[in-house]
Amino acid sequence: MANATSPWFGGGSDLATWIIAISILISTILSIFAFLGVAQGFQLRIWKAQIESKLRILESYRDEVRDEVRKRLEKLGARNVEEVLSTALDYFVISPVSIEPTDIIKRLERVLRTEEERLEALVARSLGSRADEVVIKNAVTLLAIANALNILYKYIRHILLTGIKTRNALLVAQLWMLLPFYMRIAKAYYDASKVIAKGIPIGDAAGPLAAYKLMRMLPRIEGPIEITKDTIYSIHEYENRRIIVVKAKGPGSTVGRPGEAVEKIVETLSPSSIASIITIDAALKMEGEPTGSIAEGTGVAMGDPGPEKIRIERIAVRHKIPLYAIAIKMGLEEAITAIKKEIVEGVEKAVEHAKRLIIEETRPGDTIIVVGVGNTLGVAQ
Amino acid sequence: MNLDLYTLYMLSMVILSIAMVVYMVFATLGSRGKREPEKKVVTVLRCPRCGYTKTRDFREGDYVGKVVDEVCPKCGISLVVDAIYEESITSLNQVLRNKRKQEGARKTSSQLKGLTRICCALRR
Repeated sequence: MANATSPWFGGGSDLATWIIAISILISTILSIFAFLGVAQGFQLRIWKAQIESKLRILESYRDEVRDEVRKRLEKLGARNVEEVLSTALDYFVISPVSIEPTDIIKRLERVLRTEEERLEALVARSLGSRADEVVIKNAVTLLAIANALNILYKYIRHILLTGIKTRNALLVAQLWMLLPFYMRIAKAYYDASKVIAKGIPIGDAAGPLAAYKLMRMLPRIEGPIEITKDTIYSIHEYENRRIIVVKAKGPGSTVGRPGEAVEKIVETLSPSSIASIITIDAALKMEGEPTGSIAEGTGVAMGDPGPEKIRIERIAVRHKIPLYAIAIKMGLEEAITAIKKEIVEGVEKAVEHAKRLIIEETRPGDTIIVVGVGNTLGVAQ
Repeated sequence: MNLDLYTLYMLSMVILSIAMVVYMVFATLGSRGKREPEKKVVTVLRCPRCGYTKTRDFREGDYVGKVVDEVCPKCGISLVVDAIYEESITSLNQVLRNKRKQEGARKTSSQLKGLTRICCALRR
């Protein structure tokens, strides 16, 4: 009896009996909980608490970016700042009808251009005559970031509340599992807002930076000329060939309209004289690949939703112009945050590669179009 | 205290479980506290004539292609912003640690070379 009440001082086997008895009791209780769904309820509460803590971080990201835009606009003397912010933060784009594919690219282009023009007009009207083009472009990009963070926050909150309301543990579990990925995107956007506000080039500026380097390196014949909205080109001479370099008009935050620009250039010049179109763009690297490494390929290196890229593809097919692409590799976060030294080194390599490609694939007297694709924030011409 | 083999086994299992839990807690807290290296944005200025370069901290308003007020000490013409990029700040401790590591590696490789030479001589 004494052994049973104080196992530590009694026989060793009594202590073992105690441990086994407690283990069996705990596992029995847990099994009953599992059958009754109590364990799932506990798990759901843990997931909910963790998602809510991340939601608070996401909310602070959104609010900080919104406050940053507000501060910037007020500093520039903008009027109706609250109205601009509320319109831009909840701005949405409806994708065109896809079950009828005829003209879908043109419809998508119209929708995207309307969005761009509307947001630019909103900021320009608020700033009045004081509006500087670069300031407007950067403010629009900051508003787009605030919009993206707002939509992400609302989406995660919606899924969480729906899951709790319907007691759908799987829905909450899925959200909990995907949350690190969403948070990674949100953090990248948040960091990007600080960089864009200061006008620092981002990783996506690799393409325009390569175009700038070519423009500075090669003897200039003509340009830079603005051929279409926010897009410029200049003509250079290299090894008895005519090089037309195209990029977005910097240093404001814009990707320009490279597709439309290339289309216009080809149509204006004699298309038969164009030997090739080379696009240089930032590309997402696979995990493990070094940042700033480059790769050559075929096609149009461009990450747009479609309207700009298809214009280059169509004009190339019409006139049988070969399409070459040079990709400068980087991660998702690196593409939208301050450009890294490795990427700048990658740009130098891409420029040298483009020059070698021109020598190898074209003949003297040919005309080559080189397009630096990407956001030209902090990169002039 | 009279403990038999079975009790000892059970006790060791309990201690092992506790040790694992403590390790996991510390591992989680450790990974949380890991700080990212400090970074700064720099502007590279270049003389368009002689290629002289100078690196300084980024100032708001800088952009690639901008002609700045600073002049080239050799040619006397205005410098142009050639590149802007972000780089990690390496602390003095880190620099010393890397240097020590390199020296250590060099020492080990020279010792290995010596050993190889002795082995070759012995084989001969």
